[in-house]
Amino acid sequence: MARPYALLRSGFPYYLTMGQRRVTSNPVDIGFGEENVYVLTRGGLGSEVRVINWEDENLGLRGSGSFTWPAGLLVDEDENLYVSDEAKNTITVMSKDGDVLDTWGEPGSDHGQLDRPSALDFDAQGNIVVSDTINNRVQRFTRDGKHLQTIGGVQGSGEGEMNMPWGVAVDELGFVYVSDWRNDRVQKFTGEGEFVMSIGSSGSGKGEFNRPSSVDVDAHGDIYVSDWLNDRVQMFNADGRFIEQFIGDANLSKSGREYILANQVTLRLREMTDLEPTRRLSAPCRVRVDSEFRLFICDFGQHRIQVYKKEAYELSESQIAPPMRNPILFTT
Amino acid sequence: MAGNGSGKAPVFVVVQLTGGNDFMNTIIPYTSSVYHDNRPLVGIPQDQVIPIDDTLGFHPQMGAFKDLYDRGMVGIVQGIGYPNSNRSHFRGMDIWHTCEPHEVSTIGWLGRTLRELDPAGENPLTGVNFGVGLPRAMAMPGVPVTSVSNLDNYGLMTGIQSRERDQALDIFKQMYGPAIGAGPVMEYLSRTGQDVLSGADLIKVAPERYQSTVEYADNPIAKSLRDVARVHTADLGTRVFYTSHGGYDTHANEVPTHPKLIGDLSGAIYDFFADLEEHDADDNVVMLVFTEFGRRIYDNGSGTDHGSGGGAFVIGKTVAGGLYSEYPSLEPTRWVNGEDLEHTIDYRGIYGTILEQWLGVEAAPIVNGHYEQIHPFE
Amino acid sequence: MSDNHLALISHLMRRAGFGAGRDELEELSSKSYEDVVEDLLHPERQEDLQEDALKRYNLELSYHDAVQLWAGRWVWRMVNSRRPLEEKMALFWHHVFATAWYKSEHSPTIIRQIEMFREVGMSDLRTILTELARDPAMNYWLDNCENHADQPNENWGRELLELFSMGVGNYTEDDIKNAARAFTGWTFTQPIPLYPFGHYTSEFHYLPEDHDDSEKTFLGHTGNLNGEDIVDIVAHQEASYRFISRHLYNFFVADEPQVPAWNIEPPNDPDAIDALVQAFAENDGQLRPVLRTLFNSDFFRQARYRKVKNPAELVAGTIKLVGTYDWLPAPGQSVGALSGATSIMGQTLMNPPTVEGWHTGHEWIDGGTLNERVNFAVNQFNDLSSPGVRAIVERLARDGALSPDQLVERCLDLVGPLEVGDQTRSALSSYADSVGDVDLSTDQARTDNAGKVARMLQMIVASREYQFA
Repeated sequence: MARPYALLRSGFPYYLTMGQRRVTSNPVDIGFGEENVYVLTRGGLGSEVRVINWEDENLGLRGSGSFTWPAGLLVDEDENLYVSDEAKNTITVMSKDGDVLDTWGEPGSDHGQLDRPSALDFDAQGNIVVSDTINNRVQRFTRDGKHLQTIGGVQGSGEGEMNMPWGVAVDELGFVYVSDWRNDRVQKFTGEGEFVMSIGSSGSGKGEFNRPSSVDVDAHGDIYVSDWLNDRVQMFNADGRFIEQFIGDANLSKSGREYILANQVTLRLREMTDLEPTRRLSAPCRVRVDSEFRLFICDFGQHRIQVYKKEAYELSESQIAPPMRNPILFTT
Repeated sequence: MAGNGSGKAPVFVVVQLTGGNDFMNTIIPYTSSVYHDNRPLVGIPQDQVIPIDDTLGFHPQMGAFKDLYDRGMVGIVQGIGYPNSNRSHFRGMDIWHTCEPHEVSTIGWLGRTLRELDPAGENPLTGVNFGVGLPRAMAMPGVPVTSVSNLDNYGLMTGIQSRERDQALDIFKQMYGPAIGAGPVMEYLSRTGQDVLSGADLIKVAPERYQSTVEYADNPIAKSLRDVARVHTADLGTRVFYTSHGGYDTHANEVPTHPKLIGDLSGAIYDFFADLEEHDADDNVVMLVFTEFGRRIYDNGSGTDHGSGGGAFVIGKTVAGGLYSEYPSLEPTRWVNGEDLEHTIDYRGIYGTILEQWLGVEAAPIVNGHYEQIHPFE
Repeated sequence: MSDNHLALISHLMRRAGFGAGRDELEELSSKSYEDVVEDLLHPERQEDLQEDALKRYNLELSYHDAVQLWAGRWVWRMVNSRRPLEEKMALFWHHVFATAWYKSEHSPTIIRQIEMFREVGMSDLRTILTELARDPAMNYWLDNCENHADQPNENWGRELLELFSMGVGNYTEDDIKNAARAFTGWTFTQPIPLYPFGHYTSEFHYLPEDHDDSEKTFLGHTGNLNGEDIVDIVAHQEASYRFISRHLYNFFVADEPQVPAWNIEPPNDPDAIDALVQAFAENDGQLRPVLRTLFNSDFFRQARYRKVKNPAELVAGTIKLVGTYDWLPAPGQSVGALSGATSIMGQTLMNPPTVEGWHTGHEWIDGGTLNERVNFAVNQFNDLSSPGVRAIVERLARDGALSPDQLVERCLDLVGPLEVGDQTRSALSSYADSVGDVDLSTDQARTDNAGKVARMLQMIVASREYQFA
């Protein structure tokens, strides 16, 4: 599917809230199966994969007790689950029922070795791209762990250099995006690893980041970055121009509503307070966008998934004026 | 002293279920429509319950426990609690540990009990806790209690390997030699250091002496109760054992979690008494199983939240098994705060029962008053 | 003389901070003692810590919950901060204004209270007590949210006077009642309840309609007094200067009897307390001049190893020696292990047992806690590759080979310098004799013999003397 020439951006309304504390506790990544939704959680309330469905029902756990610092999750077309563990330097492959099918990865800094593998993404061929944090690079592997490619590998803040990358994404054209965590920027590379562009700098203004944790790209080429310690997600167009930000608009999830209805004191206390903060994101760890332009945000500190859905109309070249060099005040 | 007929000193084992055990899913009012209506998710279907009588039954995972019950060894204390239950784990547990519902105390009821059992603090093993850190129940200034996190590797310098550890302990012993003239604090440190060494020396014979044909399961509570059995059967003079089983805070995911816990607990207690019987060491042991609170009557779609009235068990060969006190009423007009079971007997009365009828210690000064007791030692 | 200077700086850093490694001590020793004190009193002269990597790997520190992890993060700050007195004063006020998590289980307000101590801990009594009176965690802990115009609750009013400022014997029951009435209407905003999502915080909230506006008399002052007026009066009482001075002495100088005995037993060193009281009085209740007086005094300089380390000092000081838990957490490492360690030694940070705080001095020690203290310290030296152990071996290697006596002396020096009694010294010598001369002259020799050095260090940190600061 080719990208449209341009878009009429109609809006990005809030779509859905999923999960609750003690079910989707401290989510760090999310993936989708036929009917199941898989949420990777990490922390004192459990480091494992929680399975829920679109009805927000709790369907159990996978991989409990197997992970120390699980960081990234991928779900393939057979619903096998790939989980990176940045303490063990491994990628574990499990069936949808949680049976371990394979574990690969070894610690080190040679090509193919890993030092804190964090985010994961599939490329168009179904290979796995891994953010290799302490080695300041991104590596590409086959699904069974054969090393294919290394991008980066030099610590620094120059073009193509990285400082503890966290998030990684591959778009449908094969470009690779890295949330270059300690440099407060996102870098874009060609599939061959050539530097293309950089987005952002340190700060809390528009287009600025405080330790970006993840990045994803939709089929229009729009780029989403979870701006971790600024408690928001920022959206950029394919050229890296800031478009808008998401600070959270959650309502009660279905499971959360059921929980509160069973608790009289909680019901009363909510009547005694200001509820505005309940909408907001808290330290979002992962943003993912699907083929239906639904934007999923792992709202780490609030133990839930916030979902927005893009409304945009695709435009052909004949429907929109050509690019302009100068801004104008006069419009008819 | 209350008699157990064996001539041996009575021994008391406490098992704390940490997090608030769901009593309604432990002893189940399986014929009650109120139970089934309010627990669409976590409720146990009637045909799976192991019946005790025509209204109550054990959770299906408690088959082993039912065996002990059928042998007349299990007293079920229904509706144990106290007025105005505190739904906080920590405060709730403190209230159970200190018998002080209205103020914060740092002295525990078993600490006071140990002072009565061993007034001069002669044996550092009179009270033994298995777990990390001392429970407040056993805390009392001047009462030495031994707290063991790993019985097979207990004491000082446990991070140092075998033969080298002996040398390290020897150096420690020299370093903590009498510090006459070095001031009271240094002298106190020396004495404490020597006590730690001798306590570890005493207790290390337990794993050395122990042999058993009983094979405990591989789970935390089975491991802890095996440790209790190993120390008890070594005859080291321990009168009070304490251990905990965690994970009962089942707000979410109660369906797979709670049956596993209650099944592990049931099997471990069964194996423990079988082990003691094999060592002819069961006739002077009584066990109390308690939790800080029960859980809410209705489930929240995933689990159950903190409630009040719960249940306890008094177990032992000398116990007259059966149901004690009353099951809290399920009648909605009797629910506390519109959502909780009421309590039907005060926990301090159960403590008093054990203290006076089993350990032979006056209860009132320990539990801070007089409370209705039960009579399970007839 | 220079050795003594370094030993004195080491003493200062143990008390005003959580100890210092040898490199840091040598660097500090190039300055005068008084200049080091001055730097400690001005934390803003040093950069604050970068916590991004800490939070990335202890992810739950990216928001306010998981109180044990936040307590661990505090110990991590004690270890790593370049502003050690800021952390030490926060710990001091936590000891005095003991507020526990267990009553509310509301983590954000407890965490926030410690941040507040860090921010205002070296300001002045009026500011500190005002912030404390407005603090939601304290307010709930001592029931001031139940202190209504038509139904006063005296808990906060009483403890403010008894435990937080003047001490028993300096006010009447009527003063308590009037203080309590002055704080009616001081409450906090209802936080959004925890479930089904995460924690939200709470702020100070004043309800004028719930304030008792009638006339009150407090310590001779009469009028429609409000909470600020009570704090203002209390913060300028000599009794408050004296009470806080005694706390400062007990915390920074030498162990005193516990607080309940203070109106019966005189201070160990009445002149020292008088000097601190005078510094308070001359500086309108400011802390910094009082701390300057304290650290520069002879009574402080002469008080080496006269205090039993509290668990936070023992844990943070030992970690500083071995150099672990730096800015980047090791794989799988949680700072929760640090607060877990202080906990089993009897000090659960952010969760003191009662409003009276912890019993200190030799009461930190019983059989169980001594066992934990010794094993914790010993275990930190198991890893020969830890930066601190390697640094000590490298330093000793400058001497080439060490005789048994040298091994004992040099290791005691590098751990403190630690002063030990005859029994400890002879026990350490018996270990040193058993290993003979230790050759560290070549890489191979260092590999072969580092374990012997580490074992000597383990025996030293297991000693009685190491229990003292």
